[in-house]
Amino acid sequence: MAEEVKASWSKGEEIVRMLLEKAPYAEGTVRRERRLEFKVPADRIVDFLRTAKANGFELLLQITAVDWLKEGEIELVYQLFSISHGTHAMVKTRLPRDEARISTVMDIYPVAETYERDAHEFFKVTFEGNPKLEMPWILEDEDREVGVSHRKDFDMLGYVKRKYKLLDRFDEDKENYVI
Amino acid sequence: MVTQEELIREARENGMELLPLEKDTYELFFGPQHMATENYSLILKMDGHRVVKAIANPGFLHRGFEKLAEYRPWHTNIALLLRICVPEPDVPEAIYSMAVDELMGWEVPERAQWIRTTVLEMARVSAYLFWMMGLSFKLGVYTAGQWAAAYRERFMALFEELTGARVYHIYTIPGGVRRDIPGDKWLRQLRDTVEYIKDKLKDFDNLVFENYITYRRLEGIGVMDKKFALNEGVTGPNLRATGVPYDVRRADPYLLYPELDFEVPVLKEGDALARALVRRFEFEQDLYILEQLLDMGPPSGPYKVDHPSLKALPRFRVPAGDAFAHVEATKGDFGAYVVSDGGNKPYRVQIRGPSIAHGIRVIEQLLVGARLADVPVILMSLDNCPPDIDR
Amino acid sequence: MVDWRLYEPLINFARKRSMWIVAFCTGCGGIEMPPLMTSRYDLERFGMMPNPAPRMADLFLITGYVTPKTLKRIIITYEMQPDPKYVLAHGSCPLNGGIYWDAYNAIKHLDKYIPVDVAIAGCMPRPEAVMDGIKKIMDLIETGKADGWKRYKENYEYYKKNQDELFGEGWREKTARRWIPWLMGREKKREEE
Repeated sequence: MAEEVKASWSKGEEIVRMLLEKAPYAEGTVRRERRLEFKVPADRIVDFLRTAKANGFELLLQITAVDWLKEGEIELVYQLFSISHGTHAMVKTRLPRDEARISTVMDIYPVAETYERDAHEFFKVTFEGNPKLEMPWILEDEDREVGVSHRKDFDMLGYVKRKYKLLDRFDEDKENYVI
Repeated sequence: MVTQEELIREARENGMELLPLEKDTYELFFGPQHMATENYSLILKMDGHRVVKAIANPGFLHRGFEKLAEYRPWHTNIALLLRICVPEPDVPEAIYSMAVDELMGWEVPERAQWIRTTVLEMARVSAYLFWMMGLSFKLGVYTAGQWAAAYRERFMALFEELTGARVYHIYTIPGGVRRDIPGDKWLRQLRDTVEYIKDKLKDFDNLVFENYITYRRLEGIGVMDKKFALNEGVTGPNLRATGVPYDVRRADPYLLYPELDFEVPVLKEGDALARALVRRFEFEQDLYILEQLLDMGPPSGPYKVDHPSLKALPRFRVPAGDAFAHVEATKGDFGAYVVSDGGNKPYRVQIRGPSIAHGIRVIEQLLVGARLADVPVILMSLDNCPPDIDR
Repeated sequence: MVDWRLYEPLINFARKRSMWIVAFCTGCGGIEMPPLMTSRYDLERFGMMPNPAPRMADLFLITGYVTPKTLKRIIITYEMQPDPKYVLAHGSCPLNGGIYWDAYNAIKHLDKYIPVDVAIAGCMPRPEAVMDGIKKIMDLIETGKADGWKRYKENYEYYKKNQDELFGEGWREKTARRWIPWLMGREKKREEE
């Protein structure tokens, strides 16, 4: 059984080896069949994505931001898909939480403009070189001013109670509340 | 004859202020109160009836699902996340469940896989019928729209019998499905419905897809080429209409799809007509897949994983890690990225709706130079679903 | 001089049988509108039909949850409708937030901002429930109890105060002008500043 599994992973390993030869600054592993994972330092992300696109990763599916409060870091996950290899790849990079700045990848994947606007709105990550970051996106201006975000330290229940003038009937400290 | 200057002066005197953009152009708010846009707005800069510049304005349906999911236990999230995609709510359920299955390391039983595949295909068929209804109404072929809505009702009835709800099913859960299929009678009804709709497809062809008006209306508008589509992250039928045979069911197979036999229709033109025709061919393939599944029959066995943590759901915990799962929805590649820190709530859930690529940059570029009358048709041919964008 | 109050029962009867709906899918309940309008449930037999223009419509269906961004448009659309006008809130979310009770971007009590005549509970309400709600609003119109539009005029201060508290003063002008700099291009924006 284990050998069969390994055999189905060999294609992924080949892709990882090929990419790492061209981009030695990155780390790459095979998660499972058709799932790769790369870890790239934040200042080399543009180079890495350019290499990846030249080597068959045509689609950028999403840019996910994850807020790791304890480490004080924001993790950006670029979800790539390669139609020619039939493989999904996560390219992960970490930024400091206080000053989350990274250069845009719009010139490689133009669709990144939309995803970067989304990550900027909800996680306050600044993508240098994206002209539309300040353009209104999903939230209204008054919400932006108040500082609504999906970061972990945003007190959502308190904000909801203040905004909609709800009675104080929700216990914020309760671990498992019942809806 | 009143001149424009007089009109402007009169408006100013009466306290109204006109906002002229430039000479010869004006600002037009297209939506959200519009029959074609479904609570999604486009801000158009128009020159006569031609669009000069378009800006998409999403966010009318934003409820902050990704934040809300961090406040709810793992299983409660099923009832929340399925509201992301209203026409086919089984897709967000399925991707979230698949991602959690991967985190738990569960191998879903065969019977549950069969049921999940069937439910996903039924959702695809009903979503295509819904799309056909919208397209027919926008083209002015009201008869076909009425038919499509009536045939969709048959699937709604089947869903109701299977899951207990018409629209929001809350059926697929991590580890399998919530309950077993009701019995052989339901399978017979499903087969009858599939055969009935297959029979009626000829009428749709006569009325819509082989109609001269449709061809004249759709041909040559909203043209994308292959390179543009790949750069802009276009997926699903919209990408296949430009000549790229990318289907998640083939490229990254999940559930029972490796065992099923179906074609991935591809056209090269990349205009609205090609997108409509690709959807029509896929609809036929989906009916064929459903027939195969019924021929295969549900395998015997349990319909969900037998695991002690499924018996105490509020204390259900998922080991730390992250997983990505995606399926082929009728709109394109629908994906979920789930991060767990080992707690009883997800640490982060991100849903990738296909329309976030179609509805913002693609539409902004396709609309430049289009006629105002073509705007709803282009929106419909891209099958833009605003809740996907807003989440 | 004709006393029109004498004819009010007749007028109300006519109003009840010819309600036009504003076609505004404000939330997920919009998915149940096409089945309602088409052959299976066929609302047209009640004399109803969806109408693109709010200027000719009588009934406003709030289909599902309402976000503040949509609520601005709902208020503007509601004020555009001619009197008499009726509001039917559809689903649990406009009542108390429903499943979005803790969401930062969903309105919890819609009747603070615009008057609601009939509310249908459930998520999502079945078409039969919506039809029942419509039957109810027809009865209320006939007996003259559907007076939301009168309440909106009489208590306009209250509603306006709630709206301004939520959106901030001058939200109408701000919303209308929001996109102009982006349509004109950035150069124009810099000149204005």
